Amino acid sequence: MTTTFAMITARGGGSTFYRKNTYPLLGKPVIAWAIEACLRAQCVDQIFVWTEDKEIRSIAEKLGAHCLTRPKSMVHYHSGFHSAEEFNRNKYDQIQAIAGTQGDVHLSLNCNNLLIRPATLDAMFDVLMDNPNLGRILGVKAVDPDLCLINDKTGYLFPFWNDPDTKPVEYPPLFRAIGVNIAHRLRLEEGIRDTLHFPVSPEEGLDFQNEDDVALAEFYLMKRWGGRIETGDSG
Amino acid sequence: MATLREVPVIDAVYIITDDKNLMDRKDFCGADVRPLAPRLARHPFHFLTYEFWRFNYELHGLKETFPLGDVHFFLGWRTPLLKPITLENMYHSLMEDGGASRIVPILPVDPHLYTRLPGLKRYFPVWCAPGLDRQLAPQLYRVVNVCVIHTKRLLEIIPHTKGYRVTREEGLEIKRESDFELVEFYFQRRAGADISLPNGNEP
Repeated sequence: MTTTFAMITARGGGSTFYRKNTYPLLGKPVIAWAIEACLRAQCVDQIFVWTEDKEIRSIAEKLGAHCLTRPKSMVHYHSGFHSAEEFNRNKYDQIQAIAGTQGDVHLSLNCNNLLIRPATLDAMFDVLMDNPNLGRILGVKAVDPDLCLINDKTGYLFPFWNDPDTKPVEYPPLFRAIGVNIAHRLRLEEGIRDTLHFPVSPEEGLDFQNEDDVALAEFYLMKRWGGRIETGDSG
Repeated sequence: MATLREVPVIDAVYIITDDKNLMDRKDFCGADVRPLAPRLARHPFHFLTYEFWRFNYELHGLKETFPLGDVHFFLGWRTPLLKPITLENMYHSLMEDGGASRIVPILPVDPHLYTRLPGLKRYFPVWCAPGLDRQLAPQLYRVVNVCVIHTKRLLEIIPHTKGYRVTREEGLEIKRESDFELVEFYFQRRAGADISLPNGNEP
């Protein structure tokens, strides 16, 4: 019997806007929406939240998730205090102590992807399990291919694709990775490392990063669950 | 239309179209309707191109349709949420930068990208630095299909395009039927209306 653990890493401060993971959307914190998606997914047996923050811990535990203590020195991945192996060992030792096992399959969900549907998580899981040659399945979302960079030397825009004779709709399709992936831990340990990419809908692929994304996230949540948004400010 | 009329630096508004229903009307919502030159109907307009022959070709094609001005705002129907103040700010930003002939709205995009070849299941990373925190990858931007052009600078071969960062709301481009509902939502929000749905559609 395969044991599947969902893993959510949530920082109190928030890497893109302050306290993003506890920001209320339609009255419920961001992390609560993410945990609930995992709770409703059939494939998930237990949910673990790795955090240093008391408020996040309280929210997670009320919803039935297990909290793993994240040392302050491990809040920043590039702080230089710890190796990648130490990060992983900290999480998985705690999981082992709680569950008696590290789990066969790990579903990692970034709180930013709070709109992922449980049915999508289950579909990704099924594809992974049905293909013994796969070590991992990674969610992706289609993006507009009309992209550019800012040229460091001039400060002006430089096109990503540079074929002016082609209309943007004819460009090669582009996708970006979303923060949802499911890894078969046992297969990866055996060296089976193939990754399949699983496209999700534009709505499910929303990357909630900053306050600019609040309106859009609430729009989609309201369409799914009903609710009320009070505004009172106009553009 | 309403957006363009509220931009104080715009003197005249034209609708350039190859739609027969529109072309039959000389005037639409107060804007002068002009037919698009046939040779431009399928032409891929690129606001980031550095090819002089291309924008020379485009401007001369447009000259067949309406009298060219000093500055042109190109805006399509797909970006109804762009605000007049944003267009005005773009104009001023362009005027103050003698090194650019064009300015376009841009939105940051997560650079962790893949592409897929037809007939193959695999996705290929566009650029790949496995293990690199995505916040440390070079920033990419999506170009919103709107442009303010300084005609004289462009024809004098000052080809640079500036980016003007806009919000996700203003940068919304209607691509699917479902986007209309989202546009309506944003307009209601701007109007200060409380928005509610008693029930959602999730099972």
